[in-house]
Amino acid sequence: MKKDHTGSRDYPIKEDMRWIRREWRIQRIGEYVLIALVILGACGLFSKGVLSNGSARSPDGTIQVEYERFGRVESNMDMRIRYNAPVTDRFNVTIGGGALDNLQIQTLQPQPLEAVTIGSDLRLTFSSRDTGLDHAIWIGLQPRNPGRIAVSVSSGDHPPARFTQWIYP
Amino acid sequence: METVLRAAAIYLVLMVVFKIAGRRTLLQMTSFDLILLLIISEATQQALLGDDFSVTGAALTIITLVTIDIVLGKLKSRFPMVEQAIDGGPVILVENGNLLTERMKMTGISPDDVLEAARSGPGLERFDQIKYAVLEVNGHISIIPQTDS
Repeated sequence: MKKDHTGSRDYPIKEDMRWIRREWRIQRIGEYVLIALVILGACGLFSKGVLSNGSARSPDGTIQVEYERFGRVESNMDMRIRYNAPVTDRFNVTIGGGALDNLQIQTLQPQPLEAVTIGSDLRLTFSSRDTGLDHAIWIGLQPRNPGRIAVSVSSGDHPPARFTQWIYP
Repeated sequence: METVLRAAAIYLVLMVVFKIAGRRTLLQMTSFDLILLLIISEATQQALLGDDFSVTGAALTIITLVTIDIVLGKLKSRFPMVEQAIDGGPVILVENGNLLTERMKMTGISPDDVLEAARSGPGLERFDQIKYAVLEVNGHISIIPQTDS
């Protein structure tokens, strides 16, 4: 009559210890998974954090982009483009690689003098009269679609800075 | 399509998270847990509807959630395996006054929880007055008292 603690009983209820054991194991593993997710989330695996901060630089160093590696659909993310080269009274920056099909520009500072499209690329021209070498452009973006987005930022004939962003659904 | 996918994804996430949290959460529900549930619903709401303020969107979300529930219910009654996997089965915690400690550890129920259920239910004081204590699927502990011989 006396059974061990872990054997299945048939009375008063029919129970299946295999499932209970399985459930317990899932819970044990699941708890660690949840803790790991919280820590990774705090570190920025799901955008905005240490893991998410990325920076890309064009081969000749003209353009440097600080961006977020991870983004989420319909939530804001920032990008800063730094332009460092001798210019006359205006310079231009081209954002392309098909990025703007998936990224919507929410804010753009400073305002460009001119914005034109070349294919699906966007070329922005900024004034740089009486300023030094170093310029920065701040862009607020909102991803529209999940998945991988390839972005390239270039200026005139300079080689582009290329990077990719991963957008979570 | 997006609305349906959103609702299904949220349903799945909530099911998995609450499965991991276990039945204990239901049993030891305090007023703070109630507040926590309200916050969870608030956090869910945005992802469910996004920036969709239309009646159609809300209706579609509600219909999707209820439909998933109905379909899962049908699957559960058709295939007992599915029910076992999603809901789990009842577990005996106390047998003829003996504590089955291994099982209590697995389900996260302490002897105090069983005694509390014994007091609030049939008004029992000690373990030897309990014939069976069963942790039910809904997270409540049923107490079957020892019949006097």
